[in-house]
Amino acid sequence: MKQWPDNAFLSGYYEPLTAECTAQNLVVEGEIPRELNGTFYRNGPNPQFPPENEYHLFTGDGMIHAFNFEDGRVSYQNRWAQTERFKIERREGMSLFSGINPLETDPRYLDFVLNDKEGVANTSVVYHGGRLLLLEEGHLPFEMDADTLESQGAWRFYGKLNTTMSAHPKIDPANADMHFHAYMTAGPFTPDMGYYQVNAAGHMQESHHFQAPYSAMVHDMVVTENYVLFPVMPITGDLGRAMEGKPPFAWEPDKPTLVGVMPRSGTPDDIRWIEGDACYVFHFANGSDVEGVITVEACHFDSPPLFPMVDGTPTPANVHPSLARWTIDMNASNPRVKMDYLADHGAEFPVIDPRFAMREYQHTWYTSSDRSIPAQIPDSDVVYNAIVRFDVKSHTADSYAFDAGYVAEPMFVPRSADAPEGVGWVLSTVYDIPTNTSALCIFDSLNISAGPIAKAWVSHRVPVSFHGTWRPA
Amino acid sequence: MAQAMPVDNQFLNFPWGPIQMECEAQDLVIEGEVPADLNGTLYRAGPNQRFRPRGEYHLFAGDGMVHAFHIGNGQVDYVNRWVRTAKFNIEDMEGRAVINAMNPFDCDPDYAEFTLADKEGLANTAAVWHGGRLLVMEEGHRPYEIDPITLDSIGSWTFRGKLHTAMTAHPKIDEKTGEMVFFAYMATGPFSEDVMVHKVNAEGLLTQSIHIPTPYSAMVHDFVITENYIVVPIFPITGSLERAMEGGPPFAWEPSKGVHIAVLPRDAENADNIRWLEMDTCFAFHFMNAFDQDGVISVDAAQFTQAPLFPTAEGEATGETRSQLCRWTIDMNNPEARVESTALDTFELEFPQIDMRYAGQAYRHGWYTTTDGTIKSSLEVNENLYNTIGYWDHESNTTETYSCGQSMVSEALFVPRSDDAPEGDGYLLAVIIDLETRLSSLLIFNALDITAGPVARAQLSHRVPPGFHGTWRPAD
Repeated sequence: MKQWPDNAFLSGYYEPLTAECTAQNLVVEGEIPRELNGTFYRNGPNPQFPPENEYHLFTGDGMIHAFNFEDGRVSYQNRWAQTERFKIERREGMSLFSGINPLETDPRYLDFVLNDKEGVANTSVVYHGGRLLLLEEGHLPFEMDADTLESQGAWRFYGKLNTTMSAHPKIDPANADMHFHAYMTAGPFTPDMGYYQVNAAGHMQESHHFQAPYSAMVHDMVVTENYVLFPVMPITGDLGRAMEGKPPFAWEPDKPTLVGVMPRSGTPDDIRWIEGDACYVFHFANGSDVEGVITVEACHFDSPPLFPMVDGTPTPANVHPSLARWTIDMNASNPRVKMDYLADHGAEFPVIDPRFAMREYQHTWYTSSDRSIPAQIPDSDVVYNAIVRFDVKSHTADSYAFDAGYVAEPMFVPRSADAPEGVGWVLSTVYDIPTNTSALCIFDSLNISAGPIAKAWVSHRVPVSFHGTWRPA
Repeated sequence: MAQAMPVDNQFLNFPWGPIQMECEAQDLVIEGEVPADLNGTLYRAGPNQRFRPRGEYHLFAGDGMVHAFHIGNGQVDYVNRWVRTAKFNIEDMEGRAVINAMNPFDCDPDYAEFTLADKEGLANTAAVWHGGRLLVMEEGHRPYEIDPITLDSIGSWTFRGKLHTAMTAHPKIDEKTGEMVFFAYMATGPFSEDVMVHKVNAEGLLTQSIHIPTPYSAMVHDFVITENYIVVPIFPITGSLERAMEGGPPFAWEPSKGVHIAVLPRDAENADNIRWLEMDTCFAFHFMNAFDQDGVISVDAAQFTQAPLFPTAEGEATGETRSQLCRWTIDMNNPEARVESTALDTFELEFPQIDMRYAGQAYRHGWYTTTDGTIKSSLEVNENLYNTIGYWDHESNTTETYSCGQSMVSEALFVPRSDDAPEGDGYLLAVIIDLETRLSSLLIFNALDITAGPVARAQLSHRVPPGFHGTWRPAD
């Protein structure tokens, strides 16, 4: 195939891996804890072919990297998600669907793209109801065999899901119910959204449709013990704009943030839209509520990277979100979303001890950057080289920065099912820039600053990826 | 968990060190254009140590891995696999190295008998496609057959039970008959003082084995055939069980033992008419080619003054040595003849290659791997890393070179443009490691115009460690 175009999102730490690999019993520096048994999955964009038109990071073919832990041995494999798009491109021997604008697709495949249900399965991954699902938010979830990573196809929860599924479902530790949302459910750029609940066995129990105040990219949501929050922030989608050749998705800061707050006992008819300042959050750490006061920790941007203004000009350079607390007092007669930064260092890809999701909690782990490593795209890119644990009660941080490593979203794994909150390990795939190879790094979750207690090396690069999940053995 | 490789052994660290995974990559990114008439598979074999080794690691002791580049219709697919030798399977199960393949007295006690009894070895040196089988060789053991498409391991191959020795990594195939001639050293057991020469016909049937006692037990890497002779060189890299049992090196450079060259007629039924000729002390891993005319045999060798990579019998390093292209002349008409060696030029060369259709015949074109001196090596035996491909023209006695810059380059293999193309008309294939990106690519040159640079480069997203030898299997 032809060469990769000159695109920063296709080179360096983003450069796609072109091989599907299997490696048993990886070389380990340090000691893998014997109690750590299960599989860590990472998902990210890894285009199969060099794009024919403007490439967006969100449109690369999904590739799963799986690290399996068994009695101190670590094995690794990576496989592409063999979606309909992937298979068509492999048959044609070239890229056909690389742009974020579906209207830029090869006209022969326009009908396919507008009707495609599988997408590129490249954003995140969840193990629930005995299934490993790759999520991409613009399409249905895509199932892969959890052991072999063999592609199985789109999964509709026994035919009940007819929209898309966000990349950030929330699992309630009380009953293992999975809550998730969908946006643009009535078609590209519509303001329609959906809200769903799937029980522990993988059966869909609830499915609701509602209207957002405007059509927006709604990447994440929040669930607390008593509320579900749908944060609509102004990265807007507009078909008319796209047809005029302008950005299909754009940052429109003159629109406010509107958070749809729904009681968990209610339905979308009970949503109240609470206003806040225009901002953008890709990812929320967690949320909880006490006596009608909802608090949420968010990786908060004043203006977002990766998307242009309505006229196509770049957004103000701000590539680094920081952890902020949103507070919504539902007892107030006219509540508003109060937003306060908790720290001034960067924070992205937050995770928590999943046993404390939706409830009051103490620890979040996220990626950060000391900005010591120059980014490939200075205004919209940052080299995350640090893992941080932040105590949301005492507002103190415990962090470790790599000299020349690009860290991925951390993953917390509890030491045992009944270990106290935060006692366990934090896993992160770290791309070692000088050697162009990657290592899975394992930290003591409550002593991040001590650095990794073990590094399991692969002899190739795991490119920058988005999200992961853990499946216990 | 697998232990990390020791940082103090260069051959276990970048750029020599092993990779950990087996993978497939379809339709590699191509710079330039892959010639439409290049259809077949390039195989590369080399050591790729699976686990942190026992004791002192020798480059020749790594577990064999084969890398295949399937080339067709302008497209290149890639696959790599370890060879599932008995040693590999045992260590895979144990999760650590338990066998020292170079020193039978340094195995885990549970496997103390393993190395002396093992028939499969490491399968880490070279590959040959012959008689419809892809065989991976390591010279100390039997060949090992793998699937030519998937590289899945099949098992060691004894030519239907007829091969009772090891097989050299450098068999020679006679283009006219399709016959493959090869030999084995230490033919009757570890450190035995003999070699065995074998002939296998085009259908893959082993037709003849000739036993040849040697002046001493020696490691013999390569040999040559001509139309009328088989030439087996005995250089003094000696093997000694007693020395190994006393804790000395099992293999050592002992120049006092002298160089002895065996010349056997191609049609000999046994070793009765063998002639042993002496020559001044020297060493060669590899020969470019050989031919005979009117009873005078010419042999072109990549000749060292002493053997690299092996210590003296006392265990001391032998120091730096370089090889250069030398022509040996053996006048079989003279009963008193010695082997006379004359340097053809002074450049450094290794991995000499030819248009294999001219093996054993008068020929013109040779290719080799060398250095332009711009990448300094920290190896004891070499001042510079090989980063250059060379071409030698026997007609004009001149060279041409192409430097791959800051990239290490492998042996370069010649592939003819078509079955009936003139000598040298075809492509030259080599694998490089870019020392900056630490990634490998396959380079394809027009073989008679290497100075123009590669016509195509197929890019991998990982590193192929520097291997030893390759082979080509034309498409069906």
